[in-house]
Amino acid sequence: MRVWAKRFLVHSVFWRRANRFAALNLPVWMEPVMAAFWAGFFLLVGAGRKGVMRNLSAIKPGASVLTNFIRAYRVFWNFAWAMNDTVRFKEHRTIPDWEFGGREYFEQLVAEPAGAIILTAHMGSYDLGAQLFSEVSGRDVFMVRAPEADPATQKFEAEQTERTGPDALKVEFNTKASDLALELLDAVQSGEIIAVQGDRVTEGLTSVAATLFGQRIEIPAGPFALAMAARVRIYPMFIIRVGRRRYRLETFMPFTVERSGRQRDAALEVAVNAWTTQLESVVAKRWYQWFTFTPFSEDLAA
Amino acid sequence: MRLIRNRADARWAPARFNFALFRLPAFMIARRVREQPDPDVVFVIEPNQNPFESYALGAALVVSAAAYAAVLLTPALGTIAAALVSLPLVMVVIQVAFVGFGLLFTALFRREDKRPIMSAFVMTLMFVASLWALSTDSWARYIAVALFTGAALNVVAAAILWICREQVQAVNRARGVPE
Repeated sequence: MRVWAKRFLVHSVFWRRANRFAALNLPVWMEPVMAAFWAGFFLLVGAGRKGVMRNLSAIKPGASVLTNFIRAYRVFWNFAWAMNDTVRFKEHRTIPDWEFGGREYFEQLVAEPAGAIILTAHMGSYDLGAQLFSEVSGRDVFMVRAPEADPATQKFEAEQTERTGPDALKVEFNTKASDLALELLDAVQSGEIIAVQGDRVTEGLTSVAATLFGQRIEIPAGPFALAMAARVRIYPMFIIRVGRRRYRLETFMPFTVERSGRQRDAALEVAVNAWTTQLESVVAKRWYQWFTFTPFSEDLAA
Repeated sequence: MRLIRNRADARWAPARFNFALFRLPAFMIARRVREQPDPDVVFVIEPNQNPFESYALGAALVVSAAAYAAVLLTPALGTIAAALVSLPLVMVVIQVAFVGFGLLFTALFRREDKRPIMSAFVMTLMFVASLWALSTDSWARYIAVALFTGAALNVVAAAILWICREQVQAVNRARGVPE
């Protein structure tokens, strides 16, 4: 790909700047027009379409290419809105309406005295979810995520966070397996709630093999190892966009990673299976919310 | 940030609507609904929260602009081709115009949030274009009539809401909106 063309890739800083420009200039009632256009644009010209359609072929086996093409539009439509809602929150502090699923588990999480780990996926907007969590519970969330693929985007996001002030969400970028490990252990043991995206692993991080929709995948080992070391619960939680400025916070039954004797790998396997089963059930139902623009399995990429 | 927790009826609070044309029906519904406790909802008190309002206005912009474009293009392309081309063309033109005027307003105005300026500007453009459509004998003049009717109804609704402003405040309070 030519150098100038790379500036317009979906993860490039160009789109982040454009999104901020829109948040500052676009009347609210024009948002649907913009979302419809840009979802169509990324569907037609973006490299992400292939990734989304391959993922859909595993999530919805047997569907025709045309059906999955239309479904891919729905994925981009939701992504455009989620990006828009996130930037509007950062610039104007506008948050959406919320509904809760699994309220009893959410309240259990909020009441956790010993810290906990939220395992989530690339869905909805974690900025908005963390803000709601903070508003309702009075507790902040410590998010660990992969850095932006584009260094310019990473720099832009850091500048925006500094400019707009502290959020309920503290973000730490995880680049190496050894980075942050002790810091996170210390944090969770002192009662912090740590959120990690557990549906994608980035290069350099320790991963474990799992199966999702019958495909082999690698997921980050970090949250499971952390839960085992700190002896805290893992809460699967998903932020799902259900309509215009309306999101759902879905919390599921927590699980632990209990090591008995030297059976570390067996304990990890049980926990990983519990997570992937939950992830699969949510993605199967809310496939239009899973913002994974590359094939989630190497088998699908082949 | 103003939040209403555990009350499903808060969705109809007039304070969550922007244009009077939509706030008035919300006011009328909110007067009738009973308190609906629901521990699983959190509503934000912020105008423009209603999706129907936003989609209706966005659709009005696109449909009217596409209709006017189709009328303009018909002599050159014929009716069917003009109708087919006008919608995607208008979607692109809206993006280009939005960026162009956004940059212009950025240069002209110091305030960072230029949404009210852009909103007023786009609506003015729509009304100017609709005045033009009214002056033609094309089918698009009916769309212009519908647009002006909507604008007139909005003015009437705003007047009613102003007259009933104390009841509106009372209904907002009854639906959980803090003072």
